[in-house]
Amino acid sequence: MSKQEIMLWQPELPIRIPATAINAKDIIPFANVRQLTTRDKAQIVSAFENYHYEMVSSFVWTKALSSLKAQLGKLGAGFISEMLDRPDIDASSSIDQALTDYEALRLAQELGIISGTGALRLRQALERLTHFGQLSPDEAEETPMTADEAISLLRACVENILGKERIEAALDFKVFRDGLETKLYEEEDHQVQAVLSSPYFFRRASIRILLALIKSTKGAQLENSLANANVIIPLLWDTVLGPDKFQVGRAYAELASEGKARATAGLKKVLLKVRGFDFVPEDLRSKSFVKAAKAVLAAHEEMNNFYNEPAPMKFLDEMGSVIPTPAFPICMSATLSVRLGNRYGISFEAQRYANSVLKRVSRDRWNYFLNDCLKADDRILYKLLEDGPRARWIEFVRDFSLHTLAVKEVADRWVKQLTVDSGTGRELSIKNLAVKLIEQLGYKTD
Amino acid sequence: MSCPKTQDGLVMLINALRRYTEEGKALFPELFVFDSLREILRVLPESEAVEIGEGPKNAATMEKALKKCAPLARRGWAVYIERRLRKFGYGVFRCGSTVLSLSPTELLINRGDPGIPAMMMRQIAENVIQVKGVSQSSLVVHFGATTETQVSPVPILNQLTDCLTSDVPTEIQEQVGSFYRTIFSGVFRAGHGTLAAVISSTKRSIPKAFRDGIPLSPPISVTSKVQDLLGKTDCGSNTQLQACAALITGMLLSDGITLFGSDGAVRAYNVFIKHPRETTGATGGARMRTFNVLASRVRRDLVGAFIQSQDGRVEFKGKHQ
Repeated sequence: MSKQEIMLWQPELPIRIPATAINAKDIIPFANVRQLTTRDKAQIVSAFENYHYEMVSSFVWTKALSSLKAQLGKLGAGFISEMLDRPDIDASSSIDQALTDYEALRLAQELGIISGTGALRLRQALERLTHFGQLSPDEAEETPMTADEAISLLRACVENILGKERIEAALDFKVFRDGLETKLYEEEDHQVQAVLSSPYFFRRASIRILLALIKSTKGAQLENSLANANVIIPLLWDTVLGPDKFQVGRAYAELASEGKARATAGLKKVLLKVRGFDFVPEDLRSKSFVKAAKAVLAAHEEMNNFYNEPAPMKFLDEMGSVIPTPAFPICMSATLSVRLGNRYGISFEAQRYANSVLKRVSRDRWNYFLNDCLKADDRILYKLLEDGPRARWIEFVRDFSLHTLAVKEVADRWVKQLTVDSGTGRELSIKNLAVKLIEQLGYKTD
Repeated sequence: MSCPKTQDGLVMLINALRRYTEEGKALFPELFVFDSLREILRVLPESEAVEIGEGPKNAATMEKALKKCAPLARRGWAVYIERRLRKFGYGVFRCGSTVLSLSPTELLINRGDPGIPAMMMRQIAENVIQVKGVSQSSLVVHFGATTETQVSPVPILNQLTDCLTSDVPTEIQEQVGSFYRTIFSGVFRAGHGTLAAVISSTKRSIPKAFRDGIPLSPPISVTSKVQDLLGKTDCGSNTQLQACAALITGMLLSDGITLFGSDGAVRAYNVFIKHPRETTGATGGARMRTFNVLASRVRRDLVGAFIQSQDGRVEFKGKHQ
C-alpha cells in the first residue's frame, strides 16, 4: 500500500449480490426486513413485473435515502454541519430536509458507511432518477426508463443501504472520533501519522471532526479536543486548501460570537501556531451566502432541477456584488453546477443569473478558485467526467479566459493542465485530469 | 517589553480612571495598551477601530488619549493606545456582533495569549482599578481607606453568576453567566448599590417572605432569550436580549431586592423583607442589614444572597459558603 493509500477508516463492505441476479425477484430477497417490509418487497417486485420502472425506482430511492439520512441524523446536526461545511445547518434543522441526496451520499462515503464504488453507483442512480423525474409527460412517454436502468438503481440501493441490517459509520471511524475527544494525541502517534499520510478527504474530515467536537463538547472532552486540535491542525495546515482553512477561521469567529470563551481561546492558540488569522472572516455575512448557495444546490440535485434552479440562482445573484471569501467556494460550486448542468442538459432560465454571478468574479478570485477551490470540489470535478457538462465547462473556461490566467497564475500542475487543455478543448485530457484530481481527494471514479 | 514611558503613563492613567468624569458625568472606559492595532484586530472577530490621534511617546499623550477617547468608549467600544516605534497612536475599537459575543477583554486578556501581548485597565467599582495583562497577573488598585477584607469584586461576581446559572442548561450556561457578569459590572460601576437574592429554580412560587415587591409573571426568562439568539443569530433576537439587559439593570438599580431563580430567570424586583427582631441591633446601613437577613435565609428558602453597598463593598453568601 503506497503512502497515499493509507485509510484512516475502511468503509463497510456492501452486501454481496451475485452477478447472476438480474431481475427484481432475484435482488429483492437481499434487502433486509428492517429496511423493507415483506409488503414493500412484494410491491416492488409487482411494480417491476408491471413495468412501472420510474415509480418503483422513486419508491426504492426514497426508502434508501430516508434510511441513510436517519442514520446520519443520529450523528447530530452540529457534526453534520461541520463535516459538510454547512454553517446554515443548526440544532433546529431537520437533517432529512437540510441534506441534499448528493450530500448525504458524500458524507456516507466519507464516514465509511458506504464504499467509494457504492457511492459512485448511487450518485449515478440519483442523476438518472432526477432526469426521469423532470421529463414532461410527452417526453416520458417517448423515452421511458428501461428495466436495466431501474434494476441497476435497485441493485445499488440494496447492496449499499437496504441490504444492511443497520447502517452505521465504519467502526474505525468511530474509534478515531471517540479518540479525539477522550485521548490526548502526540505528533508521533500512529494515528496522527496516519492522518498525515491519508488522502485529502480524510485530512479534511479530521479537521472537520475536531471543529465539530470543539463546538459541541464541554469539560474534559472539550479540553481533549482542543489539545488534539493544537497537535493535529498545525501538522495538517500546510497540506489543506484555502476553503478548509477558512472553515477553521470561521469556527473561531462563530465561537467568539456565541460567547464560548474556552473553546474560542483553544482555537485561537491553533490559529496563532499556524499564523492563520488571515482566515478569520471579517464578519459572519458569509453564512447568508452559504445558505443561498445551498438552496441552489438543493434545487440542482433534486427532482425537477431545471424548473427549480432559476429562483434560488436569481436570489444568489441578487445578494450582493462581492461574495465573502469563506462562502466563495460553495457559491462557485452552486453557480457552476447551474452553468454546467448535468448529463441531461441545463436550466436555460437559470443561466443568465449564473452568468451574472460569474461575470462579477474578479481576477484574484478566479485565481483563488483555480488554486484552492477547484481541486477540492468533487461536485464540479465529477461533472467533468460527463460529456455535456464537460463541453459546457470548455465554453465557460474560454468565456472567462481562465486558460490564459492558469498559465501564469496556477501552481498545481494538474489543475493548470486541466484549465489549459479546457481552453484548447482537449476533452479526453480534461476527463483524465479530472479523474486524477478526484482520486487525489480520495474518491472513486470507476 | 519594558518601556519607562509606558510605565509613567500607566500610573497617570490608573489615577485618572479611579473616578473618571467628563463635564461632571462619570465615565467607565476600558483601556488597552498594545503594540499593533492591526494584529489585534485580526484576532478579534467582527472588529473595527476608529483612530482618533497620535502623539509623542510619553505620558502626556496617554493622558490625552484617555481624555479624547473616554467619552466615546461606551456600549462595547474601548480605548486603545498603540505603542508604535516612535509614537503612541490612540483611538477606540470594538468587536463582536451580538450581546453574547466575547468582548476584547475576554479575548485579549482573560483568555489572552503571550503571543498577542496586550494590557487592559478599567474601573471595576468606585475607586477600584483593575490592571491585567495576558500573563493573567492582575493588579487591583484600591484608592481611599480600604481594609484587607475589601477584595476584588470579580471573584465574588463569579460566585454570584455561578449560583444564578447553576440550573441553566449546560450548553448555554457559559453565555448566560457572561450575560449576567456584564449586567452586574455595569451595576457595580453605577455606584448606587444593589441587593440580589437567588431562589432555587424548583420553587414554583416566590417564598412568602419575599412577596412584598413586584413579582414578574411570567418571570423574565434570560435562558430562552439567549437560546433564541444563539439559534437565530438575527437582529431581532439580539435587540430583545439587549433590551432585557437594560430592564434587569434598571431593576437592580431600583430600591429593594431583585429576586432571581437559579435557572437565570428574574422572578421579582423591588422586594422588601421584614427584619426579625433579633437583628435590629446589627451594625451597618439598611442595605447591609437586609443582606444579613438574606444571608441567614440561605439554605432555607434561598440558594444565594448578594450585596453591593454604596461604598463599593461586595459580598456573596451561597449555600456552599
